[in-house]
Amino acid sequence: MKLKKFLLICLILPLSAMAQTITVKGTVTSKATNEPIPAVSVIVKGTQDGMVTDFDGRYEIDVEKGDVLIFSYVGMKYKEIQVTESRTLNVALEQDIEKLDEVTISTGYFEINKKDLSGSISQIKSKDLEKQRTQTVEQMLQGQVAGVLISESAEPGGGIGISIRGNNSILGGTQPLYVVDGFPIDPVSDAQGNNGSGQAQNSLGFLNPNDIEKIEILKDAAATAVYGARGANGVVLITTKTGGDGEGRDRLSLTVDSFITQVRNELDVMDGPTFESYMNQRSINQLYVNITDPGRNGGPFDGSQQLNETNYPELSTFQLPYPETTGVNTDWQDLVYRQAISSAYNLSYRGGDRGNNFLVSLGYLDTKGVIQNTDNQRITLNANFRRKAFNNKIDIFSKTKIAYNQGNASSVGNGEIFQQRSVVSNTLQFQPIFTPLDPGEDDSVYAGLNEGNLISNPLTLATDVLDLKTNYNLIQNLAINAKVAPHLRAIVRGGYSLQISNRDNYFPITTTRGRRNEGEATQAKRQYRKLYGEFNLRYRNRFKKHRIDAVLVGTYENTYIRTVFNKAFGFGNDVTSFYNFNAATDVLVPQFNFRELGLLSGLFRVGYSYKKKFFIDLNARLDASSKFAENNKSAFFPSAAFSWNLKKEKFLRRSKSISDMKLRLSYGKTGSNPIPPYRSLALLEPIRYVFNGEIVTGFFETNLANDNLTWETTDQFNAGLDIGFKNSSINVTLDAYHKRTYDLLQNVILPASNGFESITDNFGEIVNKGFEVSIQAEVLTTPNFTWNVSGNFFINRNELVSLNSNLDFQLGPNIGFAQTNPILFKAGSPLGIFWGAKTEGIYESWEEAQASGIAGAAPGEIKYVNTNIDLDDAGNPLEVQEINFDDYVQIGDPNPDFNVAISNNFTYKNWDMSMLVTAQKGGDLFWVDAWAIKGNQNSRNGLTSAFRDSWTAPLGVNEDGEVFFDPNLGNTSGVANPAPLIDPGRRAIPSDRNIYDGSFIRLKNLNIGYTLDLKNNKSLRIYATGQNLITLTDYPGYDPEITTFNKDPQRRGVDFGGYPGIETYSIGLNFNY
Amino acid sequence: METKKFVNWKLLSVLSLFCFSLISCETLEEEPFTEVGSEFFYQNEEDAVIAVNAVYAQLKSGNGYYRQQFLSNLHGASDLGPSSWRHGDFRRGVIQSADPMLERSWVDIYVCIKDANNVIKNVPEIPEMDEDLRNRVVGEARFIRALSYFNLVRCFGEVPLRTEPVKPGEDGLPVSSIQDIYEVIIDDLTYASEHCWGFNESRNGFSNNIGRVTKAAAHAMLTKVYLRIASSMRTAQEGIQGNVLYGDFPNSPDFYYQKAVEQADLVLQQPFYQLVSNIDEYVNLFDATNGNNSEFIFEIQGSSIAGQGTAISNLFSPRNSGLAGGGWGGVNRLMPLFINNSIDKTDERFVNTIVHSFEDERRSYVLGPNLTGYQRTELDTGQPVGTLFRVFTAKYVDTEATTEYTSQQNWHVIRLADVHLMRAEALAELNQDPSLANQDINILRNRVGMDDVNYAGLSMPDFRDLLLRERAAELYMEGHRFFDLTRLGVYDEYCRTTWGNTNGQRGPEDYTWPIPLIERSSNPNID
Repeated sequence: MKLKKFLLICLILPLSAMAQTITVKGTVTSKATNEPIPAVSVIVKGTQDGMVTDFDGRYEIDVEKGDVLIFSYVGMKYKEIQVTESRTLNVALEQDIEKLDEVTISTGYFEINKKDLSGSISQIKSKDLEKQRTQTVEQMLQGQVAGVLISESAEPGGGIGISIRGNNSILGGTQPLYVVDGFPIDPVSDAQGNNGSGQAQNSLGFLNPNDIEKIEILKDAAATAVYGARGANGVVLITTKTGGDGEGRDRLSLTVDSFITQVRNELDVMDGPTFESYMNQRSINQLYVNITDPGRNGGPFDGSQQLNETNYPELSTFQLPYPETTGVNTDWQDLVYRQAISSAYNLSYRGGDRGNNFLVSLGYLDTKGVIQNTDNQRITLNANFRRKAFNNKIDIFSKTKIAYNQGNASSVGNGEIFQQRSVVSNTLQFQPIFTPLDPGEDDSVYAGLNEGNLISNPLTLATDVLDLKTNYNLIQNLAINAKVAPHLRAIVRGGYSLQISNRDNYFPITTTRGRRNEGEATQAKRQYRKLYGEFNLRYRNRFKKHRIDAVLVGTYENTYIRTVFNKAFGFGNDVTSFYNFNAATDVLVPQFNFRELGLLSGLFRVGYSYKKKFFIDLNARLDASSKFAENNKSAFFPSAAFSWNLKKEKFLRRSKSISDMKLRLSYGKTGSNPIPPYRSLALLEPIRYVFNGEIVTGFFETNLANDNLTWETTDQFNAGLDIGFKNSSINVTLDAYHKRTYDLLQNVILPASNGFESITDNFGEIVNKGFEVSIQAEVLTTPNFTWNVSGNFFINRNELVSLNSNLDFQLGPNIGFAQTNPILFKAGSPLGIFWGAKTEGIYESWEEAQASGIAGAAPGEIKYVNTNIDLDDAGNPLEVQEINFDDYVQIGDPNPDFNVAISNNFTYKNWDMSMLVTAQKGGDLFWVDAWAIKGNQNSRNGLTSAFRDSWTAPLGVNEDGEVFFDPNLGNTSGVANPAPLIDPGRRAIPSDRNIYDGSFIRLKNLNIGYTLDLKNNKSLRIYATGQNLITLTDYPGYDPEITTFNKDPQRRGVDFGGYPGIETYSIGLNFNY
Repeated sequence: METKKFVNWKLLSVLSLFCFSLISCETLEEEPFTEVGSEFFYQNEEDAVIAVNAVYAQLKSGNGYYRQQFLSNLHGASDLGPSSWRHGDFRRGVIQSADPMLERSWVDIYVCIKDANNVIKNVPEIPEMDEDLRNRVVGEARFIRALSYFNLVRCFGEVPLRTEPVKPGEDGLPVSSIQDIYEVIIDDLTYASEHCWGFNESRNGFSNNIGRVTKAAAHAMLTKVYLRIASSMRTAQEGIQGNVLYGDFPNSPDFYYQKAVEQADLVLQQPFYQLVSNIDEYVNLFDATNGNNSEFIFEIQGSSIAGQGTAISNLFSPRNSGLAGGGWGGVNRLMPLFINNSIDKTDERFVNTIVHSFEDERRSYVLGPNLTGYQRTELDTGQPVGTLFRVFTAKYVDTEATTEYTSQQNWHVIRLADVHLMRAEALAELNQDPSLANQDINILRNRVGMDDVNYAGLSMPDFRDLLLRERAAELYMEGHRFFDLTRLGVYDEYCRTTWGNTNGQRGPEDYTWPIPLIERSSNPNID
């Protein structure tokens, strides 16, 4: 230090001969609190010379007489003072509310000035979003950020899918790393993560959107590399609100919201009379197909023969199932879906000044789902404290979040449960000529049309099944922030997280599944705790035109998870539900699971800038995870970023139209370790058997060792340009990226003949590339009226470049009623394409069917394209061609072409209005239910349109029940759907008939509010909000945005009994005191 | 001029010490809690027994292949009658490689083989162990491996033949010739017949629990294997394309018929196993509580203990009738055309083991005089509601089963009557003299009070038709039918009888099922 000062003096001395040097010193304080402010920058105007105030807000600087000193500090209005003499100059800075929100960006372990940013980070502030009144954090993000795609969930407490810059992981999903107040969060997991609807859990369900101050989304590798091993899917940093606004005022805020939710559109399924004529048509068509069959014993009917029982004994058993109507017409959609009223209350108190403050907020949300008996309650408590302690040398932050969630899912989840008959699928398919059960009745009344099976109606399924999910969540964070040297700050952060989740099911005897096992109950419990420790050192200094900002971070995480799963069946009655296993005859051995995970990381980051014109940002992170093989536990994740502030260059400095321009380039490596522990080890598990009635135990091998198991790694390049026009009233950000993910982790399907179905292994390489534009514009700003527009547009293309093995493709998981594999991971194609048969309409006649040579071809059946001619051993085409996997081709691609969102905000005096429109082009959907409701293949209900436009035979039935032939009857040509038949051919294979374009344009959110300014800083805002008010789409299912497995990247774009889309109307008020 | 420039070393060092102490105690070594690492196993006798227990468990527990799908696949593919709607492609003879039922069976059989391979590899290396016990354990594992490959080769033909534990990173094997597969099967069963113990036998303080593989089981299975080879080879030579793979065995069919006779003789010399003596006892053999009786040589064990039941009762007995647990099931039934044409429906063994009447929640069902269907009556109104033209077997009834998977019914893999029938066939074929079958067949008929038959003077084709009717009467719905029809080269003929000309058509390619897509797509050595 002394040396430096000596040099300084040496430099200044010769100058002082010409100019008069004076010394100015003093203390910088906050005008609001009178507290000294450390680290205020004090700069001589027009130069790079200056210093920062010390811990007690003091400064001392030598300047030339007449110089102007600029005092600036983040969040404060800067001050310029001309000095003419040596003196003590105490300065009080005023709060700058606008700047406070704008200038700093959190990058994870530290915050930097937005102007210094080289990486691609988007920031969203709550004040921009609060008005939308969404109830989940993910929904807040919808349409806000280029490159971020959110899939809806209409289920109370349901899971929401999010992807940032496409899909680059299979096992890792697309879920980004969430970091809440510096604490990395693991998704809240269902206690019974093994069941179909286990998908539907909201990762951030413990957070109340009202508590959120801001959200940063880290997109490129320069930004995400600070999270190294877990940054590959992007990082979402969430900062909760704190007390203290610098003015030392107490604030009380109360919001009350009330929502009405309803199903956006009901599907047009057959009503009672239509269903009856469908059933009649099945018999007529079947008769026609049988008697015209060229292989028929006795010769086929060709229209010239006499149609009587002598010629055609088939007629003797012919009978219309519904010669007269039953008169029953039940609209199951009306019964199962409801208009649901939900409400939310939030109360928060914040007080104190910038140094010492606290905030407590309480939230209560009671959501009812549009399906009967589905609901979710959430109680949240958020308490944040900050205190300056020990003579203001140390800042202590405490952040506490407690949440309680409870809801009943009624097993609406997805189609996979109830023998693939979820409430939603069943609502569409259940026969309208049945009524709900009367007391004392059971499902046997439905057996007739259901192949003798005692199937429950959808209303019973919704109301009688219990699927209770409870979740307790606690996160406690404590950070100590101290200045340990003039340019060196240290932060020690410790965190603890506890999650307890329960999931309890009961399938009563009144339901299909319950009947199978005389009542079936499960109780699942999951305990999760995580310890987090972080040590963070930050050094910042400036040497003339050079500025250095270096950070050294070490973190350690230890996670311990235990689960218990109990199951019992054989309940005599449903009285005690899942609560009492004593009532069950069969109680299975409980299943336990214990897991411990460790993650140890070190990070070193240096930011360097030259004249605030060039910025270089270098990151190096080392992560070691317990999950990988012995020698592959640790990995190194570097990144480098460069940015160039072009506005500082001569050619732009004078430009009036361009007020800002920055070019950014970055490259980095990030990782992902989305696998359960112990996957690299060879493991044996116990199993039971019985010899002559006596239990014995056995041990068998369940996991194949994998000594090479290592990190999934993503390399990402990003080039970006930020331009501000007209004094920054229009800002445009452009980003282009190229992400290459290799050593992709996947449960690779092994040849089953090896004895293991799959192994967790590094599997292949994916490339995602894309382009993002976002624009913010202040269109009009007058004292009474403002109009702001912001919008974003993004394109992502992805390709599975190669598989690690020498195979060209891997099958995706089984889906649907028929357990087919419509999803394929194929080298050279986008990720998770749909694979199935091509179709060309419907066979019109036996001649056409026979000419095809395809097995099962018949009039009224689907005409599958035989793309692969089956050959015999000699290489000649087989006489009978089969449609099988070899004939399948790509029939769809779930990856969207592009996405757009436009948001308009208006204020007029005390009125405000905002409008958000989102749109997607492309992104195919695989609608599993279409098999059933468009297939006309069984005695269950289907779409009216599918029956109306189906193949029908040229046969009629007169009033006496006699069948006659009339070539003018029926409709055999140009129909879109196969014939209703009693014994149909193969209609449930994956084909392009399941594929639909998922494009849509949607008025996502419309909000109008009026703010009443009352006396004494009190204000009251009253508002009305509508969500999903208008949707334009060609998708014939419930909703193009809701898919069933929205969190599972192996099953993207699959709609299988997915929760129906909803529209929401809400009113509310917000009172601030 | 110097302001307070400080470095708070004390604070800095305390903070860093705190952090590093936290970190240093962690090694990131993984220690699973609910599982055990493989290297810690196979240390002693107990480990050996426990390991082989797991091999048995793979036949039943979880997805074990004798639990459900495999049995329905075999039933659906035969001429007996339909299985569940999911087995429609089996019934129609259009099984696709992507069929999930097919895939499940394939996977489950190979999982079982994997565990058998582990035992066969590791148990001989256990340092100190009773030699009789060691040999028995290996013998049991080899029996189950042979049974599994026998099922594979009969269902799929040429398949990958893995006889060693797989190593990490190893590719799938190409398919082996059926000769190679049968060589392993015969070696394994021969070893098992030499080293497995007798029924409930104790040696050196160790007991061969009832339900384990016995010497008799190994001989019986060998009889079946030899007969399979012999008859398939004979029909292949007679021009049955579906059995063409059997054309290349090193010896003549007679060699294998002879082996079958020898093995059958050995079975019949084993203690404990004997035929019952009247029809009541015969019916009682199939009682849910009468498993492991003197006629049943090897069975997959069911139990009423929670989690140890089987779904067999549920699969084969009428649903919601109190004859099995669970609300579903009753999928595997007999078709009237089979009963009328392919079995002697007056045979005591048939008449007494079918369900004659039952009730579900709504209707009563009474078997009509033709024994081809049940007349249904509404319980409420007494109104007749037509006939259900399907017939259920009573062989798997379990009135105590409460749920789908709680039946204590065992699955009968092989039983003594089959050994007699096999010996009858082999003797007649060997000498081209049907009368040599009389003795064994009449033993079985007499025990249920039926008259003797005399096959003397019949042509061999006529004899074979009658033999198949005897086998049907004795063994129907016990998983043998599909295999009998294929090895005897009459699969097409019999399926047409039951399913008609369109759905009943079977070609040579239908004699075996396609290798599942899941294997083809992941095994680079199989296209």
